[in-house]
Amino acid sequence: MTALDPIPEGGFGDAVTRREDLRLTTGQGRFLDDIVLAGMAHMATVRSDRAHARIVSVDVETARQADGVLAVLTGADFAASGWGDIPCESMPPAITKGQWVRTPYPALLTDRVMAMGDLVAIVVAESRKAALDAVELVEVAYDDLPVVTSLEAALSEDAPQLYENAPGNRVFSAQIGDADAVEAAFAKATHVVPLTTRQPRMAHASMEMRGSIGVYDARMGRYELTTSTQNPHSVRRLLASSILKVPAHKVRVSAGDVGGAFGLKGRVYPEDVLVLWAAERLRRPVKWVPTRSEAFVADFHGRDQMADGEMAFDAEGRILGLRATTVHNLGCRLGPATGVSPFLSARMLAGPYAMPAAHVRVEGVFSNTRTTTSFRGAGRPEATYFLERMLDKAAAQIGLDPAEIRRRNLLTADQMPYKTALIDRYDCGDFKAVFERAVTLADWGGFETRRAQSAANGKLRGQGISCFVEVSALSNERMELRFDLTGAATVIAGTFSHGQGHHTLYAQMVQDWLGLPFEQISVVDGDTDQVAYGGGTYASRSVTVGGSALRRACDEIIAKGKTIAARLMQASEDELTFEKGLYVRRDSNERMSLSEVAVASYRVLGHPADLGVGLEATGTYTAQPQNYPNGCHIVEVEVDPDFGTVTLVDYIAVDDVGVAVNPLLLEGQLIGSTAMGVGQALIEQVVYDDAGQQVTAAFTEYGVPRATHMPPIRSELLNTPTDTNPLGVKGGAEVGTIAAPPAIIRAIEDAIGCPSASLTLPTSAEKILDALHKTNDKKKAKP
Amino acid sequence: MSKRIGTFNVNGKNADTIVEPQMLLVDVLREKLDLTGTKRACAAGNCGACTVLADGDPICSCITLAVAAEGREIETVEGLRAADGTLHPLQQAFIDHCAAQCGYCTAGMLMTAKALLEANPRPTREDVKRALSGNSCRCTGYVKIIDAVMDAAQQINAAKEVAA
Repeated sequence: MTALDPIPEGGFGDAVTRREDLRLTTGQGRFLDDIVLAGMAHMATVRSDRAHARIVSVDVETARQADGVLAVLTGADFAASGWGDIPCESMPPAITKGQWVRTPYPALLTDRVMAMGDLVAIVVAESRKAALDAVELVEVAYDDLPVVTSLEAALSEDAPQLYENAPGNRVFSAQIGDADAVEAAFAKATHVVPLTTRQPRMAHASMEMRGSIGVYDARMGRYELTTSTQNPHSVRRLLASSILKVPAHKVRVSAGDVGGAFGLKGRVYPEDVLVLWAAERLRRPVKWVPTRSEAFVADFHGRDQMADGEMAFDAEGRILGLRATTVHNLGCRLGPATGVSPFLSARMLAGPYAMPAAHVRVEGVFSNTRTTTSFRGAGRPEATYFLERMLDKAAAQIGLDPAEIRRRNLLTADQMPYKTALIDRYDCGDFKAVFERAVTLADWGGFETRRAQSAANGKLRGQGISCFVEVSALSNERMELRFDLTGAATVIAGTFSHGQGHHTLYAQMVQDWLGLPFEQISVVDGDTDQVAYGGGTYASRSVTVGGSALRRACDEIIAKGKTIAARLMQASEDELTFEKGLYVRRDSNERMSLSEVAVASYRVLGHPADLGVGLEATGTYTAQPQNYPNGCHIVEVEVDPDFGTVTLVDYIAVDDVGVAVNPLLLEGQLIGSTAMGVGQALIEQVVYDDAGQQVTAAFTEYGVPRATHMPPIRSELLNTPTDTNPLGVKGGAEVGTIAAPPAIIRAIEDAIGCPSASLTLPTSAEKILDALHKTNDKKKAKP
Repeated sequence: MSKRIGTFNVNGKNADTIVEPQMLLVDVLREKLDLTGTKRACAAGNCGACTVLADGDPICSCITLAVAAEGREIETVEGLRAADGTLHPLQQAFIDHCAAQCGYCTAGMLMTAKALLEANPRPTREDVKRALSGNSCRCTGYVKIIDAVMDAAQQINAAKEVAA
């Protein structure tokens, strides 16, 4: 990695260690399950063990009699409460034209379960153990219905129809791009390359599972939810506007430390609704923390997509056009963010290449599987995987090196801004320069020597490359900066840090921009009672939207402070300059610190009434346009031909994140996101059997990468700052998740000598041995 | 369910608390002794987040019956700091290398690493990877955790050499 010399405090651009880490390394984090409230009861859930069935009856009487049980509540009880459904709010109207199938989504089901793990009833008891024990006493009678267990099954002609108003199990079928232009492009093509790719279904499997505590404040008539979320304001908005139908000020949502999310914890879940509902009924705080196997079946999943299409090339291997159809398995019903990934994926199929024409049909299907939602990268990994495997396959078909075909197609700085053939307009970047740097760093051309060295050790070595562009900075954001009457500053952030280290990043920014000492800056986030509005943290957005809004708040503070300082110093504002935290009167020794000005702003006597009371400012930023991080990652693997095991022996990452606010934290995001890409490439997959039973419901069944999977990573930045935001930054938290899978799979194919784009995700040892045997059989067959 | 008073030696202090036969060590630590630094993440011994030391050996407190921990010296993340508040070299190295992100696996990582360094004061990177292979982390990608453990080993060894 880059040599860094971390420091405990510093400004914008410094490698500052995290102020969060003292509490996290000493066991003082406060996560959801660490919170104990007086009188707190515990909720456990009765879930469907069927994939698709009518609920005939729910017998709760025995459970109700059990020791410690306070209530057993069913779907019928919930329906009678009048609480609303969880809505889907992520289908882009401009693309779908509103044409998508709405699904009922009450927190407890009454008539039909549609996936294993669906919620049928809840038990609330004095202890978690009593609640879990009583769940076993609830008798649910089901009448099984025909099951659709996969994307492929949903598409088959004789598939059972899961919703009457969704013929062919289609949720939507929309299109972007220009079909006529693509037709014309294919007409003049020398090479046409077909490809189908399949993204496995993934489990976020954050180390801290979801979990919630509901409190009903009868005194104030107010609902208070503490939950493991990445976006408290979205949870509050959905609770207030769709479920409770009350003004937002009647609902408080807050979170403490959150143990990872990766898209899982972006919006409201049924269990959030149920703890509040139970709390109101029982007039006691109610906590729900799932078991891990419960989390695996209850949590929304990610990915599960098929992309099928063809690309047209000229004689030199230059891209002429792309046509593709992507199908996303959205599960049994739509969650709030279910529409995010399909449409992000569709638009990012434009890729980092000069692609004159493109047309994408994007479809969603229902199946008897868990609802899908964003998973780190959210659509960009799906798009990148298809494009990169397409270029690998095309390289083989046309007779080009995988690096060479990319070199001929990547966009350069002088082609910017570049309007893609789909939706986006890339504002800046030099994708080709990033690629060339990675190729040099990896010594791509010198690979055969290393292959021979590995061969001498009995190992098959391969190299793979992947280029990508992604889109980050979604939505808008609002940041407040408030000085208190001791002259210290608090950032009140609309973003929500759940492992990213924002409290450090924002303190760095404020130290730099306002010249305040590091320890005089604190950050508040994750509580709708303290933060007026916020977008939470997802999709590599926070440094761009939070940082840009904070920059504007700081600029306003400087201006407001100058007015106050001018009065105090009996100067005109024109005479004052602001440098390193000080207002300095030109051509004199007179100066006042911003903190002194802030203290003065609260004075009862001496502070002019027309300047108000206190010193604070609000900055906002709306990501119009968004920004486009990009990069090139190169992997070398060694495959053990006897066991089919893969070792990642070298990993080169060259990325363009615009500007690095804290290189130490950025590296953490880069490596961490790469680990998720490694997981997707090699081991991760949610599996349902033919009856719709989810068979991956433990860490022994769903593999996540371990320390032994991870390669050394050589990382460099080749940044092109963007002028679409005041900081020049681009997202940087998903790069490896996007780039790693295609590069790793290509490297394995290269190692074992099987055709390009023939292996599928995740590439297990079993698949590798199978491919090796086929390759060896072919070699033997040749004389 | 029968109950009795159990005595647990945790971080060098004895504590009496009511235990039931089915209770797990992680329950006693978190719910009876308020030592919530130890995390419950899978309750099946698969992810290592609940790792504590028992007589110096790393164990999963989520699959250890509480009664089986009586009479053993239990050490949790809360016991890592010196009495004067000085951070253990592993804690300091985790901070210096930014080896925590969400922090949920961190206690387990620290305790596993402590056991490793006591058994093997000069580990190779491969030794560290192998020792931590039972501890899952979903955020960091492990590289900085491994860096931190290697660094802490050096710091501990250097301090020993100075003392000797």
